[in-house]
Amino acid sequence: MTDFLYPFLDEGEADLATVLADVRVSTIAKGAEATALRREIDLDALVACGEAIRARLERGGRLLAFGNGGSSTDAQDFAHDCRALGWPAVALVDDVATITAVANDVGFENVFARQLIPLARRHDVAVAISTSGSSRNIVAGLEEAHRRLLLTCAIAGGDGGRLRELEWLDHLLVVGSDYVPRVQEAHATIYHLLLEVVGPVA
Amino acid sequence: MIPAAVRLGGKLGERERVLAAFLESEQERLALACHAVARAFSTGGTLIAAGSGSAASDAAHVVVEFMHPVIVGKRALPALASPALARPGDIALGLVHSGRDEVVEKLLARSDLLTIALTGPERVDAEFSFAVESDDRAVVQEVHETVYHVLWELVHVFFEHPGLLADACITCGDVAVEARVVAISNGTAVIERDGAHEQVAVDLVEGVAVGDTILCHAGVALERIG
Repeated sequence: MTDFLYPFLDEGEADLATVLADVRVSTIAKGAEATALRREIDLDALVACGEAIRARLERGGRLLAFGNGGSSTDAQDFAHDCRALGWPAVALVDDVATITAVANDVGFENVFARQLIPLARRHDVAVAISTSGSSRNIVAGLEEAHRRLLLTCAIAGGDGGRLRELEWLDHLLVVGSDYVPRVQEAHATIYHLLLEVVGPVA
Repeated sequence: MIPAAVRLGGKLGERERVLAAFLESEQERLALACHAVARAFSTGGTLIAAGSGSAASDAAHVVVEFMHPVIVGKRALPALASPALARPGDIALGLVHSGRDEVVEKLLARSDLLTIALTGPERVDAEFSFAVESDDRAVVQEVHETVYHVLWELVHVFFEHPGLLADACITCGDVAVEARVVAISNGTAVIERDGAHEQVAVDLVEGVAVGDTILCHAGVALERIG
């Protein structure tokens, strides 16, 4: 008769102490998962990508980063940290006016590609961040960047998704998990380590 | 000269150490913070995330995490990256990677909000203040990202146990209170007072029955009154 109030009382199920204990165990496990994914990062591929980015930046290029949702904020963090090293860098989502105008008038799959058409210059670097690796606007943005001879780099999750099929893609770094929060945490490590390789302006 | 990949391997090792040490020492307070946040949401609170510089993008990340859950079926919870919109009863989450942030400090100094601080070694005062012990602000950012992901994940665990989200502790005040017994099971009674419910131990009082009025303090029944 107390089921409607406290269903767990009769079943001996979760009281607060039990749930708190479960939650603590779960927290430690989540940290261990993030660490395991970081250990799998291909550091040789990462160094090659970072050195290629630096070579472009040294020739006057700029870093143009883009992603959707949580990955859009990772792109912002990446661009911010890159600027802190003295290099020109921007996250395409910072321009909300253009993004919403293009999304409204043409479609959301076009937002990054449309921004790159007028913006892209010789020696620039495009870095796409996508946990699925298959977002249409991410693929379209990289295609536009490639067409304009930018260095094309992608940080993805899962099996790399559609990005894996782009044979012209210059650098692809994949975190092999489908669980978005842990993938994003490893992505943050990847772009921070890329900047360790790029280093500050001489 | 050390090859770059080897140097980066060392950077990965540092991340591993800092994250493991942080979670090991803070797991209990993190669990309590998640419970408090779930309770604040359940009483109508909005999550207000604040950060500037490199932490501004983390504040935006926190908002999208709660507003548009990546796991299908999880409910959307209200969140804004606008400190000026914080109302009494809201949850304030301040993020600082390094140095000081006056907007965050001012927000977290408010006494009418549930306040949580995520910082580097320079701690900011809050109800739940978490400091990451690393001089590398990239490492600090990465631990913060894990913490706010975990916060989001575990708030939803508490939502799966609505009995644990009942409003403020009835028997936690300075003086004992009278309450009515509405259920009993295995030496524990569920008491009701002003529409709120709580579990209390009835080991000290013999023969407690549903409908009794008992005097309680700090989760323990002290005496049967009627």
